[in-house]
Amino acid sequence: MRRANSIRKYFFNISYLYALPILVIFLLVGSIIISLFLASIDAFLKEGLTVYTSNVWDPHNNVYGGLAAIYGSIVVVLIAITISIPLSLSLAIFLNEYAPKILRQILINISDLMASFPTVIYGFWGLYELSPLLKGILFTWLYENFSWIPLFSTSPYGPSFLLAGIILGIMITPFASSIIREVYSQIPETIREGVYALGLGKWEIIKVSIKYIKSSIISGFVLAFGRGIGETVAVALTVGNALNITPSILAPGYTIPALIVNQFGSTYYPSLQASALFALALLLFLIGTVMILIAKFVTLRGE
Amino acid sequence: MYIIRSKNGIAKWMYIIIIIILITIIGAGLYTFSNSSNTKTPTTSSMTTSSTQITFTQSVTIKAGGSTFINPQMQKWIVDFKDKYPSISIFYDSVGSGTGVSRFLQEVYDIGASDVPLPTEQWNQAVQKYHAIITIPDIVGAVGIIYNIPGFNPSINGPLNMTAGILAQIYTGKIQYWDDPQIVAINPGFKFPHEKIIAVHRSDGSGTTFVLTLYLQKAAKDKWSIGSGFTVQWPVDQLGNGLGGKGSEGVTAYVGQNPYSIGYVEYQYAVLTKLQTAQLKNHDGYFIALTKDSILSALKNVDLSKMPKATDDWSNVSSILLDLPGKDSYPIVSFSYLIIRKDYQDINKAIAIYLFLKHILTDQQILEGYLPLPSNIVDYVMNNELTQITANGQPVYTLISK
Repeated sequence: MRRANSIRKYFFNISYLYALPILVIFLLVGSIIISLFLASIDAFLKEGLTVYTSNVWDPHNNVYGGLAAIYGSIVVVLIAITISIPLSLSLAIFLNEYAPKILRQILINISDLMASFPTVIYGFWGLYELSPLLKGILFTWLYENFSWIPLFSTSPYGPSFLLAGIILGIMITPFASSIIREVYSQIPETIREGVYALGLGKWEIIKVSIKYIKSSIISGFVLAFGRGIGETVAVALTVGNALNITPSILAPGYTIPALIVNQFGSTYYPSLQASALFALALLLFLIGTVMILIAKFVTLRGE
Repeated sequence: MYIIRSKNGIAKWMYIIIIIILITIIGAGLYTFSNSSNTKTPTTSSMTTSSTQITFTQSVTIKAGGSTFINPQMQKWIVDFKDKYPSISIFYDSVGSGTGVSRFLQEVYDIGASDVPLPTEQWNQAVQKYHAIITIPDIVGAVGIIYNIPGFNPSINGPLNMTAGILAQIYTGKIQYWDDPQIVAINPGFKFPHEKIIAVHRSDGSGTTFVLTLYLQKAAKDKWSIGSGFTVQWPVDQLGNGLGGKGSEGVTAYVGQNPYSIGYVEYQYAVLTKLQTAQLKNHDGYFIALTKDSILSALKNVDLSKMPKATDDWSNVSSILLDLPGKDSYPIVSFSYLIIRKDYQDINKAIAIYLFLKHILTDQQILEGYLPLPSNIVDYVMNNELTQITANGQPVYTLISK
């Protein structure tokens, strides 16, 4: 008894060591936020909030405002999520409900492979293959038939919000889909049996299942959103990199990560330009945090 | 329940305290590690000079970094140099000119590489920190104008002619269509359609943009008010006719995919990918194609008396190289630069850097697409700049020839 007690005691005490990695993670996140903030103070002092609200990036006159990049980041990631939702949902449903075992295994492997591709490969594929292809077919068709909608009101170039959004949508699909797929396969068999007992068919099973795992689907897309909004190289290669605020998604634009990756190599540090880039990175972080909070809120309310 | 008792309670707090101490130690360690500059251990060098080649046996590590443009050639120089002096290791990080200069100022790099000379502000910082720095040109660059006009065939219609004034007006959005009278006037061999010009530029901060904008500023003063720099605020973007490509490959892809577009890339990229470039009107009024010869003949006309001294502020030197006189001179020519301290405390490091720079200037192993400095510039650098490098105040070349 005494012996068992002392073992338990030591085990309990040792378990405090597990606090170490947790603390390290807290410290890391904390120090990233603090260093982002410290590095961007200069920009806030000299430019105020205009670093977020004006559209100018002029190193020659030392004036910086990233509104176009902020706007572009949100537009591109919204397009990406819109494209990714049907793709990843239908992939998850197909894998769980219809696919034969061998095909399922193959598709899961391919999807995991897609998730692990270096993003620069997507970027170059988008730049050299997808851009001319989509410009010739989809973009031109959209412009010719729907140019009365502001969304498609500029003549297509290829690199654009839409192209970057499509590339990003393809890139984040494996992430969203793998979470949905796994949760979907964990749905208790009783639910399925219940639906069958009511004399309903496969379509109803899918509907009930989707409803059942709604919150996991949302968190899957939050993860995909987080990955999407921070994507640098693939977007920088396909978005067109023009500081341009326009409702048309066929026009070239900019995103915050693309602006950072484009400018950082030629920026002297410390300087106002570097500081403005850090201020934009801080905003990116805040947008991500707010999105996660909203998603948590929605998930909690759903339950 | 019975676990959290007096004795065990102490143990619990002990663990927490140990953890906090551990974290503090790790944090402090990381902090000092990131702040400690390389400790200098001055050692006496053992050198023997043979008739032609110096034997240098001290093992030295040199860290260099910056310009991505120079990277392939730099790696070649480093490999060849290592054959000559196996004890000297040189590492080059291809991180971008701005970052290279910043890290040189933070003592991370012994040599900074930049496609443009240090701007006055950074030069002042450097002088404050190191007392004196030396700016050394290492290779020649040039900027070519590329275009995509369907139906335009250079062998039938004659090469496309361009002037600084027209380029400036295209990139500021003053000229928006190919059939503009100014373009038609200098290209009589082709009937231009009424199509919008898509102006492609670099989206990443780049020495190529710096050189092009500086050229427009110099050669088309009245039409270019945007200034110059790694990145500028392109007026054509706000009109919706501008596209920013990432890197030369991005610009080339955008020009290739969009009919009626125009763009610019550095000479090396144009040569390696065999792009069709436009002829530019030079200082003397001739339309000159982008070739090795036209670049080098421009540099023959550099007024060496205007060149700054080794330890001077070089920020204006790019402008000296642009729009040079001479019948065969191509107008957009530039150097890439290495930035070093004038004085290194570590005598071995000073010698290693001196030997490496000498190797760069005299080595004939130049990769395709790069252009070595012409002999007049090499002589200038060897005689007026390398001689200035010192180790603890002692000129390095005197140490070697001893």
